[in-house]
Amino acid sequence: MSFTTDWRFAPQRSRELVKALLDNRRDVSYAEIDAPHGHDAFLLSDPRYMSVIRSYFDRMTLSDDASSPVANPSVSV
Amino acid sequence: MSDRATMEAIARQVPHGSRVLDLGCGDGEMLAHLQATRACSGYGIEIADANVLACVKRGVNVIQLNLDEGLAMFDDASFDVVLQIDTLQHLRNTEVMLQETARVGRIGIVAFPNFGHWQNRLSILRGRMPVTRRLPYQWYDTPNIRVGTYADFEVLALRNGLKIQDSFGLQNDVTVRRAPNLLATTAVFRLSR
Repeated sequence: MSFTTDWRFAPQRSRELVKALLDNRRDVSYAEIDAPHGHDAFLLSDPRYMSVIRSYFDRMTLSDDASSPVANPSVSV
Repeated sequence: MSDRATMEAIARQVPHGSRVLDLGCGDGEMLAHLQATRACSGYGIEIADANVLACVKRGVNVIQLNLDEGLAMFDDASFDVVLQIDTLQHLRNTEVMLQETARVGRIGIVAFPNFGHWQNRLSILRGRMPVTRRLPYQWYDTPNIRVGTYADFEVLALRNGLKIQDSFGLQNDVTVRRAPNLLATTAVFRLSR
């Protein structure tokens, strides 16, 4: 996950992480949040950011319980 | 495309166990279906926040990208199948994305609403833009930035040096192989380089 205006952890670097995971055939989901707040965006309560993270974590818990297809998830934050 | 029968007809074109990239995957329904019924793995590409969230909720891998920026993240032939289901009509660079589909996938499967369907032709003959079940939007209020026909796509694919492995029309869940440009509301092409 990245924020479009974050210079410290720029979307470009996160996309490189996504590519590395893709190249190694790992599960990965990537959200790129369009936000004007730069690196501080993650401190604010942005519903897009929070709902994606919440949903992803929910499934991680589920997969531990029920060994659903999302076993061994990889996340790039 | 949410029509279950149409989705199943397209899914049948995807070999069992394929690694699939779904361009413009929407809420991830197709990928979830392929994972559940055809043992496929893969990723969806989406631009809309709500769709990215819907995919994550379903447990479908999704990568948020604007397709108009290209597929630089993906290596040549790194997927068995690249899907473009009802995506082409939303893209600015349709031709580039067609080439990219064939570059990244060993097979590309493209489906889109066929503007050549007789209902659309009839409407145009009457002097009005068509509003149908398959193209339900008014001309002034549509997410489709372009329309094209089955026959148009054939020309574009061949002009880009792509091989058409198979092509057919879909009318609801029925496969149309006779005069698809006239009789089918959906065009489906399976392509390779």
